[in-house]
Amino acid sequence: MNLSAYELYACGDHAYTLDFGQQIDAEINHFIISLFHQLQKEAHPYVLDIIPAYSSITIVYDALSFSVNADTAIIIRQCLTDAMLKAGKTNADSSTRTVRIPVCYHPSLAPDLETVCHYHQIDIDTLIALHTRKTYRVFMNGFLPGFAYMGSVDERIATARHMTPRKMVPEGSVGIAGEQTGIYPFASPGGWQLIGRTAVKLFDPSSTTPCMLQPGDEVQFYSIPIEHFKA
Amino acid sequence: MSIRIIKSGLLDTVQDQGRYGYQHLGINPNGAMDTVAMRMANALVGNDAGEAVLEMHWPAPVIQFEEDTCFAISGALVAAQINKAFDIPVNKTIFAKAGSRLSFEKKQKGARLYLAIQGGFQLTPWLHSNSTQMQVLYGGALLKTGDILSVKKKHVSPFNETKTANWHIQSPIDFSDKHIHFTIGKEWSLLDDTIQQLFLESDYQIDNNSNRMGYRLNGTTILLPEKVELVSTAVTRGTIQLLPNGQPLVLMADHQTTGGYPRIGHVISADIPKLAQLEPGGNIRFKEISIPEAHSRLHALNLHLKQMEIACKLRMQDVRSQISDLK
Repeated sequence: MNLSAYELYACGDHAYTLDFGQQIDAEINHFIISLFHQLQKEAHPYVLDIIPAYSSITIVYDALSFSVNADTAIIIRQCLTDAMLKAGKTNADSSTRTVRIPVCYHPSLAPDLETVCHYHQIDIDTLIALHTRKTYRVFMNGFLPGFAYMGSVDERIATARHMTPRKMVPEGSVGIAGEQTGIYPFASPGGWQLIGRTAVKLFDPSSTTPCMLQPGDEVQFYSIPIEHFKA
Repeated sequence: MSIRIIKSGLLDTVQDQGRYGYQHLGINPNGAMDTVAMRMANALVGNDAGEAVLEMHWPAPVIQFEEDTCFAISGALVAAQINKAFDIPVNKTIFAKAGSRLSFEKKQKGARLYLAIQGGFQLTPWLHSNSTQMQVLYGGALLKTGDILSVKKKHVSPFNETKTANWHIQSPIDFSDKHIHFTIGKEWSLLDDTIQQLFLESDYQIDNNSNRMGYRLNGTTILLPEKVELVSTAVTRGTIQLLPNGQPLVLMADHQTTGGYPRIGHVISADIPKLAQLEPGGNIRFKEISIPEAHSRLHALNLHLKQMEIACKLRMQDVRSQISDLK
């Protein structure tokens, strides 16, 4: 990991991004997430959103909460550095949540299962073993409410996404895109290779925590037979 | 106290200032596309600036006021009527009698219109906002024919028939100027000087395939000297992404929270409402400004709207003496 190459830049007149460059790395993401939790705790009144991504964190602010001549770059830089110093202290004991998710890897529920296996010259059982063996990190949420970008999958099952996305992917579909894996929280258009499906509800708008998976979570999939799958 | 959708329009949704604080979960902010028109409509009926309004497109809905209602329409310029008999002006306070039907006969200019009702709509906020989340259809409301939307406060019109106030307000936005201001984005510097110049000197046309998620633009193709693969980062309203085909896309209210396309710029907050009113085929030209300039434009716009809000509130105090019949 390389934490020394970073940059703070403006994303328009209402956001700043602290960016550690083009790397997908669990340790960098861990640092990003601890910074995110610290900033959430501090709850600055001018902060509208804090959005962690793979190797960056973006602060969306209310420009009208400052006077017209305020130097927002200085304010955000101080806010970030303060949070970093505090997050550094609490980093050691920050515990991560592990979520276990049952997945049915069956061709009737996973339209790309057989083509992905064929592409990699492996059988379905090997694919299941490789996909369930690792614990994945939720690097960030995006694309859809509650959609978690997880990684990284074994390179023996890493598969590029479809060139043309499907018009509709069913809720709970488990997919692979490159070295990422993810679950469609509800039916939506999408281009990931679909290798399984879960009946676990990942998005529940009536709950105060509508999204089950959050940045920083650890996720472990386990295989269930189709008889146990209830959508 | 309620309004009834007699016939729904193309896309009638309830929107407010947006749902912030949940983008880390992938929940986008939504909210009114043209927040200036939303504030103007709210000001005209004495509501708070961020009260939820009905955002409408073309064709627009037919709406019946079940009881006496004080309302206002802002945004796109339209010919509106009450009971297909009286013309209703935009950007004016209207006092409608119970049973009146509001219809929109002709659109002159603009992409969206906003209806504010005095007292605001009675809704159950989702995650602290009444903006409609279109992907999950939660929060706010997507209205269909026959739907009824309750209004929080009962209004009894002081008049025997539908009347209009005899003052009006004007949008602070200069629609005759085709420039849309932006601040440079992270990948702007990757473009060659000549390409940057081309981008600044070309007109871009709003594509038909533009919506609340984003505005696709057509114009001079802008290519990076070499292809860049970017790890996804957060994107925000106004981000100008460069699509693989070399055409820009401006992210709007329903944008996804993260993205990986090169960010060549960001439309300034003060110009988003203007862009939101441009229709497919409309021409724009980008003009670069600094962040302090962008802030000063946003503050100036906000001050203008604040003054409008105060003036409207004061006028409402002696509304009885400043009223006209409908024609």
